[in-house]
Formats: sequence, C-alpha cells, structure tokens
Amino acid sequence: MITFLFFLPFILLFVVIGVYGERKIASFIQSRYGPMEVGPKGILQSIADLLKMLQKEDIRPSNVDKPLFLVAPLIVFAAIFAGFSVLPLTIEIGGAQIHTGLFFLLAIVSLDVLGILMAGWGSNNKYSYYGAMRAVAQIVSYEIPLGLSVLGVVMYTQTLDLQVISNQQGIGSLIFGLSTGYQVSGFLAWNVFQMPILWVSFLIFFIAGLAESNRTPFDLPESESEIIGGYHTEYSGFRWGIFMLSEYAMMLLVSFLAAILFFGGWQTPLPNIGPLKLYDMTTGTEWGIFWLVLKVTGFIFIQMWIRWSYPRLRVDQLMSLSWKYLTPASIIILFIVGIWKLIIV
Amino acid sequence: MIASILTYIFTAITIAPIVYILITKNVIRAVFSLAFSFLGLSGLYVLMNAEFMAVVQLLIYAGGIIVLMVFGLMLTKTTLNKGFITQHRSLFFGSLVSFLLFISLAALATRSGFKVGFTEHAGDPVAQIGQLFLTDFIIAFEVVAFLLLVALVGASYLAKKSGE
Amino acid sequence: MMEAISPTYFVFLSLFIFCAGIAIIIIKRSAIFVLIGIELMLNAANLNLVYFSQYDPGMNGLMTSVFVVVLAAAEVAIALAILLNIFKHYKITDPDELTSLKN
Repeated sequence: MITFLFFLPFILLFVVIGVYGERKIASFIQSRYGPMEVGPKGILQSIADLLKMLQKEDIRPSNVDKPLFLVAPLIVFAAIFAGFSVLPLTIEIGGAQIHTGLFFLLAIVSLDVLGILMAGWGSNNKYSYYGAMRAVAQIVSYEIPLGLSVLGVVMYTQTLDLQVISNQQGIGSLIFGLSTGYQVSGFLAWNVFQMPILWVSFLIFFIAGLAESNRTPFDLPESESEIIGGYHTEYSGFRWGIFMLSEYAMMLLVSFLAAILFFGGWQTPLPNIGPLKLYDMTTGTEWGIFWLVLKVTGFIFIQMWIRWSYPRLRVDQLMSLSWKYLTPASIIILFIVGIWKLIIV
Repeated sequence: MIASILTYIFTAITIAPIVYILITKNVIRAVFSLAFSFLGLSGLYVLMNAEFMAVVQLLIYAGGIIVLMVFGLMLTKTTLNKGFITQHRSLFFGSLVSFLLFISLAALATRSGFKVGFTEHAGDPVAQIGQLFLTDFIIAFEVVAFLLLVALVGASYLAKKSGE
Repeated sequence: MMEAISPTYFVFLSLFIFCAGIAIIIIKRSAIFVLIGIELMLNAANLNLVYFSQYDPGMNGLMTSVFVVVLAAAEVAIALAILLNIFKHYKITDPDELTSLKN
C-alpha cells in the first residue's frame, strides 16, 4: 500500500520536475537558457507539455497487432512500478515484507523487456522492430553485470531484504572492512565505506543501471537519428506518455537502489562526533525520507549530467563493454568481497 | 479465505492463456500469452510458501525463456505484415489422446486420496535453500553449472554464422 | 496457508497443464509451439513438486524444481539455436517437413 500511497504520486511529480530539470541541466551544459517562456524561468513548461500530451489523440495505426500494441506500454510500466514495492522509505516504512526483496525486484523489473518486445513487434514497423531488438539485447546483456554487482553487496550484508541492508548501515564498528572497536556512524557506516571495494561495484552498477533505463550513452534503442523513436515510434498521446513515465521511473528505481545498496538508504550522512550527536539528531521518519530523496536526486542529477556529456555508444562498443569489461570485473569484485568476508568474519 | 480466492484468481490467470494457446494459430501471441500463464503460476507459488521459486519462475521463465523465444521468432522471419501463422494438424487425434490421458490420470488422482500434513518450514527459506544447494544438492548444483556452461557454448556455436 | 483447498485441486490443475502441453505438441505445426508444449509440461511437473514440497521440511521438491527450471532454460537455448540453423538452411519452421537427413 505504501507503494501506491507514496511512490505513484512521487513518480508523477518526479517526471514533471525531472523533465524540467533535464532541460535546464542540458541547457546549462550547452550554454543556453532552455525553456524560459511558460511561467517564471519556464518553470511551468513541463506541466504545459503534460497537458498537451494528454489532449493528443491516441492514434492506433490500422496495421498493428492490436492487443499487443495496446497492452505493451502498460506492461512496461507495471513491471517497473512493481519494483518499487520492496523499497524501504524510512525506519518504520519498510516496503513489502518478503524474504526475497532484492531478488524479486531484479526479477520483476526484467519483465519490462516483454513489454518492449510487444511494442516492437506489435507496431509492425521496421524501426520499432530494430529498436526492440536493440533494447532487448542491451537490457539482457546489462542485467548480468547489474546482478553480479548487486550480488557483491548481498554477499557482504548477507541478506536480500532492503530494509535490513539499510539498517545495517546505521551504526557499526567496521571501517574499510576491518573492525575498529569504536562506534562508527553516519556516512562512515555506509556500505561503500564499510567495504571500499564496493565503490567499483557501485560504478559497475551505475553504468549497468544507465543501460537498463535506456539513458544516453546507452540510448541505442531509441536513438532518434538512426531509428526515429525505436520501439515507441508508433505510439502517441497517452500511451507514449506511459513509455516516457516508465523511462523516468526506471531512472528513479536505479537511483533508489544505488542509494539503498551502497549509500545507506534513509540513513543520515552525519556521524556522531564525540558529544555532538549529529547522527541521533538527524534520524527519524521525516529525516529518513529527506535523506533518501536527497541521495536519489543526486544520482538523478549525475545521470542527466552524463547524458549531456557523453556521445552515444555504437552497438559493438555497447556489447563489448558489457561482456568484456563489466562482467569480468564484477565477477572479480564478487570474488574479492567473498575472500574479504571470509577473512574478517 | 483470502488465500483461497487468490488461488482461484491465479488459477484463472494460469489457465486462460493456456486455453488461448490451444485455440490460436498465431505463434507470437501464443508465446506472449505463455508469459501470462507463467505469471499466474508464480503467483500460485507465492501462495504455496515458495517465494524463492516464484521469483525464479519470474526471472527465468517470464523474463528469460519467453524473451529468448520471441527473439528467436523475430530472427526467423524478416518479412513483417504476415505475422507467424501456423496450421493445425490431426486435430481430432491430438485432442483425443490428451483428453484420454487427462481422464485416466484424473481418475488415478481422485482414487489415490492425497493427504498432506501441515508442517510448514520455518526460518528464512532463502538462506535454507542456499545451504541446501551447497550441502545436500552439491553434486546436482555443480553438474547443472557445468551443463549451463556447455549449453552456453553450444548455443553460441550453433547460432553463429557458418564459415566464420 | 492453503488448508482450504484440497491437494486434488492442484493435482488436477497440473494435470490440465500437462495434457494441454501434449495437445499443443501434437496439434500445432510449428516448432515454437512444440517448445511451448514442452515448457508447459515441465511447469506442470514443477507445480506438483512445489505444492507437495511445502509440507516437506527438507524442501526436496522445491530444490528439484529449481533444477528443472535451469534445465528448461538450457534446453530452450539449445533448441532455439538448432531451430535457427534449420531455418537458415531449409527456410522452414514446421518439424514435419524435416524429412531428409542429407541436404
């Protein structure tokens, strides 16, 4: 229920703000103003776009495979949205209580490939078809480094429950994987500081996450200069909007996961320093949501920054990056984490 | 009570696509409806306290095998518009055989009178499954790992263009 | 959790899935449908294994069904690679038309 009550409005709000933010960041990076006309500093631009999109006709071309064409965007969004159900928000609100939390998330999110294939096939259009083929090849390839880098964290924390993973990053005594005997809190107790090798894991996770959400430099499935819009070429109006929404939802999900797995989730970054109990002062339900959203926003910003800084990869570069570099690297990280865990326990 | 209602709902989600597959001649729609059937099965597994199996079902069947099948299908036909329409053959004989099999096995099942105890396993099933993999099922686990490697190499060898 | 529904219900469900798999294999003239039928039959077996394994503290059925899923994945990968090769060579997808061993 928490998912519906919090995440659905949150995703919608995030898309409105995110689209505006993306344009402003893009224009800042490219030394221009970006949207300036609607509202002060163009702040209402994405709301105007949203209204325009909702009024558009939902065009259904006559030669499409109707059921597949119509149901595809819903499947993509449902699969990604289901992933949000296990995310913990604060110490009290822990998401769905299932043993296989993280595993479930990765499994259910991988179902969006089905929707993409349906869209690509159902559209009956060669650009959609190539877009879907590219998307599937890319998402399936990058699921392997993604899963392996997450597995490093799971091996270290020894649980699949995201709430437990968040809890473990609050107060501990480990730093750099070694027991210090002192109480460590704040950012020093985060997984990346508890176990510094996880920085590499995080890097792999972030790159694979970019590819999973079809963001530049991995936006081959919808590269407009080569294949128009990829698998959503034939869509318009509301259904296209759902594709857009699921792309942003996927960005958000990857950022949430990165924050929870590597950077403490809803934990505060401020440590207790002697008598100055900063950690205890900044822990609580409201603080939890605040820190989590702050971290997530940071990752979203980095994703946008990367989008406007790097050119798109070629297909062969994409595949060799995944199979020749990221996958072996993540296996090595997994091995090191296992050995380290064996030594210190 | 809620569990029973959910069971019936998931049963319907499992069976309806299978009935559709039996009727349809469109291959690609059959494959996609198979995915829905697997989703229903994975819901049933959750109700059977087998959460891990449900997630495996989602990840490997719905997310892996179906995608593989559709991908394979897309590679076999380069012309769009036509779709993948197949034909039926020996309709009478095939349905007769499966119907008779169903009747005879069902008779056997009703006569045997299954009784189950209610010893549900405690603890964290995921951890328990992990331990079982590396203790009781270690040989099967290693053999399956080797088989997967062989399958991977074999599939990529078969699928590559000849003469490369 | 499942006290309300008798085991026979699940046995019948898995029987239905199994027989539907057989019917699909016999009736349809397409190799992909044959694969679908095999997957359905494997799933019928899995359903039984998982159902009865919830009353087994050793979880033997559950473990077996995990292996079944893995084997099914390997089987589909190989089968599709073979199908792709057949299609490249003969341009057919119906297993009935594959009657010659040479050329």
